[in-house]
Amino acid sequence: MDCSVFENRLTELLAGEVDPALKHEAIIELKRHAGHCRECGVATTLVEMAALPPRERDPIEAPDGYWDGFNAAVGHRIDRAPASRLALGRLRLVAAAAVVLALASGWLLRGWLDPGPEQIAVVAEETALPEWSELEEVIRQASPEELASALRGLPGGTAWALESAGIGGEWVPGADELDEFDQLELLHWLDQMDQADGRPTS
Amino acid sequence: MEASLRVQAHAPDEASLAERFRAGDPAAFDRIVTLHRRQVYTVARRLLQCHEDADEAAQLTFLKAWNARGRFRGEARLGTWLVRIVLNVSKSMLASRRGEQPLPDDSAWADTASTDPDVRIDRQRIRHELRRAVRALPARQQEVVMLKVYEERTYREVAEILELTEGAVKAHLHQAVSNLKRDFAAGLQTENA
Repeated sequence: MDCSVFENRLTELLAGEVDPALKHEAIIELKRHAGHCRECGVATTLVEMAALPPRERDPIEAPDGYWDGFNAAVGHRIDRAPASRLALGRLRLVAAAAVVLALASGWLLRGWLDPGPEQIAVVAEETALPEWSELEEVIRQASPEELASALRGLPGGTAWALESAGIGGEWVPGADELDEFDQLELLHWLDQMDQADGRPTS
Repeated sequence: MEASLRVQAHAPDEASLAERFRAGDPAAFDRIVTLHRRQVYTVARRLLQCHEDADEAAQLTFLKAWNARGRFRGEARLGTWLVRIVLNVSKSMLASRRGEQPLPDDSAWADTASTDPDVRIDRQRIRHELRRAVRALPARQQEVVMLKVYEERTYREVAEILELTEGAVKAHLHQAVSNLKRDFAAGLQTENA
């Protein structure tokens, strides 16, 4: 066995991709090679780990009694969640403002500015947000291509807010393909925003 | 209709559970939490290293899953989807922790497989060495090792969770093993110096 074969076999064993009937023999071969190879001798710990059944490699247990209250704790958080969801009305406005800003400033063409949650939060802080009808008008006047680009370029959460508000899915092709975890990130962000700042929700 | 067909591609029980979950049935969600909470918690605990953070990540994962239930399209199994969420939640938590002192590892090893004290101590030593070395790997390699070596996922499942090809998962794992070997060699040199 040469060192590259050793490494391949070791990887297969750790990955659990070796036929159980052949596993014992494979480990003996690896140990034999590691025993006389200066380079692979250092990997004995890995061979020992590979020899263990996967469930015994690093079992993790939660503290005693933890699971008893887990489902209830999740339920409690869900019950508290509607406050965050109410923020969507406000977010709709903020997200639309972000799109308008994006379109107006031409950052899409320059391609160097990536508005993040902080920037949107700055917009949110502005007391003089334009009326929804004004934003709606700007968005309506943009071409579908411009809107699609704007939506793609925005953080997923913002784009999702638009879609939730019935803008993206209706007006912008491709809005349904948003990354679901960016969407989830937004909810988390809203949670944090509401909890940290006690920001009013609409 | 299309989503419904995709859901049915998995086990019938899971398909029906997923449908009820998507429709907002609290009982179905409770069942899903019970079925997947250990897996979700374990992934979070491996990444975040302490129970309190893992608890927060696990709860947040299910909260996010509930809020996004209408978007679960059944393209992946529920378990795969939840692991994907908990990975993202845990990574967000790690990112927000960046710059802070690393937390002490409070993970409790549950070695019930051997009654021989020497064997147990030896296994703990192996696990400890491996944990330290795995944490030094690049993030993607850590995730692959965690899901493939510790969580016994198939290459296909790991690829789905991490949104990679199976080939890329294999390449990451191979690279991780090489890096672990190199890490142990470096550790040995330091000990001998």
